[in-house]
Amino acid sequence: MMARKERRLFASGWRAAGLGSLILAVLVGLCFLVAPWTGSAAAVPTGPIGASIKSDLARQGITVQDISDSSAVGPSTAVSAAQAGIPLTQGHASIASLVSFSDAQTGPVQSDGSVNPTYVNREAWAVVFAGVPIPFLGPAGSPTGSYNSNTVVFVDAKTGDYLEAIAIAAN
Amino acid sequence: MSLRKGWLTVPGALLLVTLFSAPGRANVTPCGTLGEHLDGAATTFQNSIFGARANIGIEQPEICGSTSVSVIWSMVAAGSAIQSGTTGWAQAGCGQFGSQSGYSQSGYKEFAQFTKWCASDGTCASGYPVTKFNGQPPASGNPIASAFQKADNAIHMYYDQIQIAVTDFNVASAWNPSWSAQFSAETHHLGSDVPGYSDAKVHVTNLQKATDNTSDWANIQSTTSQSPDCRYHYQGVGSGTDFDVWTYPPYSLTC
Repeated sequence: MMARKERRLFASGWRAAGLGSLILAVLVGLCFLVAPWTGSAAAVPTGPIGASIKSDLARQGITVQDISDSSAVGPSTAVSAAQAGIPLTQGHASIASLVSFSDAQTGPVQSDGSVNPTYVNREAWAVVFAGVPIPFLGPAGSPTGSYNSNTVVFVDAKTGDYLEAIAIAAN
Repeated sequence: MSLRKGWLTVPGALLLVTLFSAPGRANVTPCGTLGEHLDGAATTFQNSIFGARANIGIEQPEICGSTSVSVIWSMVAAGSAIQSGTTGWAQAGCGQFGSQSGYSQSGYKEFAQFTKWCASDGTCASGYPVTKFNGQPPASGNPIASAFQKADNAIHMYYDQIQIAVTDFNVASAWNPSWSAQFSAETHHLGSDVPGYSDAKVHVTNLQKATDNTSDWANIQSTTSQSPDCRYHYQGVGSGTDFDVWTYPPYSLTC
């Protein structure tokens, strides 16, 4: 009689443990559904921006200067913001550089036709993604498919917000 | 019995939410054929065209996956560039560039793209094309998208009164004369929607061409529409060159 009671207690214990495990598994699953894995939590390589990228950017009116600032958001935050800003970059290798950048070409048009640049000496993370395919968007008869690019996404160093991006062919 | 009714009600409610939360909007999975899928109109190639601009309505499109795009733009295209057997173009507009998931995705951006020259096989001048991405387009309205040559012999690309990019080469020497003004929605895969839906068509209006490099503009009198693929639609509006584009049906690659 005693042995049967013990077996029953043992069995109900296992059932409770099983139910607990099930609930835990569902909760863990829900966490992944609510916050999908973006693959950006791993350590992000950082370093000065490469000379050839700097030169390519300069050709498009964007000047960058490497800086340091301990109050900047972390590089993994910057990479996540960059991937969210331009999702085509997801899954591509990146390196983040803390820079001050200016873009002489992008900005609101003034009444006299001149442009007031939006970004002048802006502190930002320049996240460089290598090998990002960017679609050709030309007229009928132009190439179909994509070109292989180095895509640079600028993310505000203080807020972690996406700012702008440029994808230059790496041919 | 009441429990059973409750269980029946849950999927019913989910179905109703699915059906009515975003009417007529649904991309197709899988993405289908990779290619250049255009839905718009273009002028003939003319020596008197130096640029293109139009008001383009706002509608964020659904796309079929993280590597696809759906855009709408104004473009000036050179029939041929100095490099034999190639073309050049410069354009500005807005569109969805990849997505994370669900509706109202990130990746919806104002953009400009240009190239010095590219051949149809995808061979291009070194360092081209260049695509510049700005911020998110406005939530509504009919902003002007334009691309035109200015006195500095560069093509300047604008969207909603913001200059997005400028060509870094002299188009007067890189491109042969005889250009076309073009206006189109475009997707990278048939499974992605062009901007515009049957209940929210995108209006493209006030189509104009720059007639010289001093920003003189004239209304475009005639265009030829591209034949869009089956899910995509084009319809002229009124007696001029205005038109609407949209995607329907949303759920199938076959029409």
